[in-house]
Amino acid sequence: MTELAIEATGLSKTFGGVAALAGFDIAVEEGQTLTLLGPSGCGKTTALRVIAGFERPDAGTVSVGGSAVAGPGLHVAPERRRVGMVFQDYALFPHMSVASNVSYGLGKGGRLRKDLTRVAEVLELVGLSGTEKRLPHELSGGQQQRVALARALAPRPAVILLDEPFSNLDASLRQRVRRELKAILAEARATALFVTHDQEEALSLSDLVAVMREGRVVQVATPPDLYRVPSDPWVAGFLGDADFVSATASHGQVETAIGTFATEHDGNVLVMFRPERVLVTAQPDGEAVVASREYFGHDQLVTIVLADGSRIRSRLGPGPDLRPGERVAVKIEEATTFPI
Amino acid sequence: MTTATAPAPSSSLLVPERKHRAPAGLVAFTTLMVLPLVFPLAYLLWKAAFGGPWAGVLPAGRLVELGFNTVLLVVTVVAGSTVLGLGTAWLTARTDLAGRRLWSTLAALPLVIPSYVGALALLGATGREGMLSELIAPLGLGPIPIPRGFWAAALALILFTYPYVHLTLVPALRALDPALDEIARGLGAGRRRRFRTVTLPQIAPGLRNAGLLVALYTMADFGAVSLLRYDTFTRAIFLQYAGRLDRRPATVLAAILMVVALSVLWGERKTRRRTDVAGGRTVRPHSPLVLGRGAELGAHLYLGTVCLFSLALPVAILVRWWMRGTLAGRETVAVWGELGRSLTVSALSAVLIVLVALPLAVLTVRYRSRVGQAAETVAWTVSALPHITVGLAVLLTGVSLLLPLYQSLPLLLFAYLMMFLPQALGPAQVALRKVSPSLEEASRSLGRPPLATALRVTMPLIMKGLLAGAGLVFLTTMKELPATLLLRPTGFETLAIRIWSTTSEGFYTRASFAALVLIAVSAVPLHLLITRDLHD
Repeated sequence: MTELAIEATGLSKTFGGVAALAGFDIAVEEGQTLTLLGPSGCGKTTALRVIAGFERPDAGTVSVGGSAVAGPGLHVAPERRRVGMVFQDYALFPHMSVASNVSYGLGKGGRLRKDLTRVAEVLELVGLSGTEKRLPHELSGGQQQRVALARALAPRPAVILLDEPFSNLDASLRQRVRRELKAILAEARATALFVTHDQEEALSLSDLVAVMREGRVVQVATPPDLYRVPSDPWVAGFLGDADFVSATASHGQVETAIGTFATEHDGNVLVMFRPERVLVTAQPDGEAVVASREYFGHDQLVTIVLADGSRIRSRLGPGPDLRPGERVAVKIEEATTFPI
Repeated sequence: MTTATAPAPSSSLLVPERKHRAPAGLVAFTTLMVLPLVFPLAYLLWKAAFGGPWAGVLPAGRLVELGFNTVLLVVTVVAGSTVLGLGTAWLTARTDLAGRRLWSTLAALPLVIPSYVGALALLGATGREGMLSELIAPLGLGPIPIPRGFWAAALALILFTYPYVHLTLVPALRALDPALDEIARGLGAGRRRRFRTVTLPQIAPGLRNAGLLVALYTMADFGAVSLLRYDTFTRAIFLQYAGRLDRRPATVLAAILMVVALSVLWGERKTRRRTDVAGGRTVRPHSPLVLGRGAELGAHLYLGTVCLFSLALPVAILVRWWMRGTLAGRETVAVWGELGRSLTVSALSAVLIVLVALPLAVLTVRYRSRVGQAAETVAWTVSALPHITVGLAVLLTGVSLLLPLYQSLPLLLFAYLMMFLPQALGPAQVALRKVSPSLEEASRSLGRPPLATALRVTMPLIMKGLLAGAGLVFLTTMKELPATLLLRPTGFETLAIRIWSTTSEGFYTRASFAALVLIAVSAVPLHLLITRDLHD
């Protein structure tokens, strides 16, 4: 069995009457990357800060690298938790050079030979060899972030926690930096826990995604499972565009205006369609009518009205030139049902 | 069959406040440091109220006279310095006047001239031996009479307090959002109407702050009114204290002055909330107003006249007295001992006050703490009280309760702490706010305990702010007169004391040299600290 690098159970934390965490559980295996995803104010940053030791939980336990660090009557100080942290604003020490920043967590100020070797090693890992003498403000945003990562990795912590690490970067840079960061973490074989409110970021970044809502984790799954089989309509809607049609299911089948689908539920259900799994083609005797269209270039979003008046959306490539009022044939490639 | 769109993710606007409750040790330390600041004042009030009979302490007519004199002086000086300072600030901050940065610095510089030195210059300019009298003698005009009383005191105070208005308004004027002015212009408002309806309301908070500062300064001024013999509360308190064995009249007067000052502060706070306009963020700087030829000449003339009377003439008069004394072989030296004592006591005061300000700054900036907020309010309020009141309160406490400390350096330093704590606290808070808490957390998660984090991360980053605060305290301690006069150890003559005593005895030569040394010593750091940042 793989060791758990982080295990948190039943965490609760209240700030001035507002519950930030309410029964929060998470388990991250060694070498795994996991992202906490949730809307702002859902408590994800608080969860990270409790694990790092900057907040004391009101209830619950935390263990890092196999040893308990927080629980009833127990609070291990942040400096003794072996937790590396990459902050949203990077928090590089502005009065220290890159080398001093990176060696800060190494024993006696990083003056020993083995520390110097380690500094060179992690700077090479993040692709910043040769910047040792520079000051943080002389680096670009992406470089600063990699220094922050190198600094967190240098003392070989049991886990790395990253709080919205891309939010301070230009949108144009984000994708590249995300790829780089993923590669660096993989090479360092680090266990990492990300926090983000950006769905795309969460899905593309990590092995597992934990969706949070109102202080607790509502679903943990791999990115494809999460997107395709969300645990409830809220998660489905939070992760991407989704349209819902309510219907009644019986004997493993549910019948809607655009076809019959298999389901494991019985009775009243919601059927969810992802726009990219709804295909429409122009056809004079088609069963639906185009209501409106938003054209984006790389794709387009077409809203259609079904025979019974309900509306769903279809995401198409840039080719078809469908106009409002045109009749179309609809093909549903995938539908997911939720019990009501 | 119905359709529904995806439920919107619920998001709470209540992002939890992440300031922690303060550590008990820090709260206890702050309380221990700040409570004593209030004690002497409370003791003074108690002594005034219950320390003896009320009847016959002071004639009612005398009280009315002192009150009237003080109010008259405050109103006149606030009006005068606002007019002077608004003019210098507007011309140097909003127009394209050539050399406006130099003018702005010059206009701020009279701040280094304490009011008692200003009074000394005024006295040294007039009378039979006065510099101005000698200048006009060849024209056949008689000596200018030595100015005494209301107008002399008002003139001296206006000339040396308008820099407060200037320093407050320059940043306010520069921070004005040009868009508002442009919108008003687009709506057809003329220049005058725009000034009245757009500019003025935006700088109103700055004007009020400056006015309050000048009002408190004037109410508290001791040096100028004493040397120019205008009867206000402060002069009366000192005369009562120095001339009689019975301390009761001085005590009662000081308590009354304190209550008046507190009422002014309280009144200002009460009205502030309703009239304050929240300052907008400046998106771009204002394009300067282009002055015509005539207007530019007028502006130079205006700034030149203000600086001539507030800076050039006073210094020239002091230099002349000193030169004449030296040439005549009169003794002018022997202020080196005074200089040494001034430097020593100011340095001690700066170090002590920064050490007290630092934990208070940490408590107020980093934690959510009622004690911290209360301590901050106390520090600001106490520091706004007239120095003679603070001095007398500390003196009474020393005499009655801490006799071994009476006329000792620690007691004097304690009075400085009461008066100058906010000067170190403000810069320390500003510096600390600029250090993101995540820097400290990063250090913690990298294995450094709190103390090591404070020493290696926080301290280096706030050092500049602490030094700025120490510099300010150093300067103001150096110039402080009334409390030093009351509390100094016997024979502990500082520059300020020397200037005051020699001026009141008419030895202008000696006084001038000491005053020049005082100005020279304080001008350099003041320039570095304040005026350098003014137009950046």
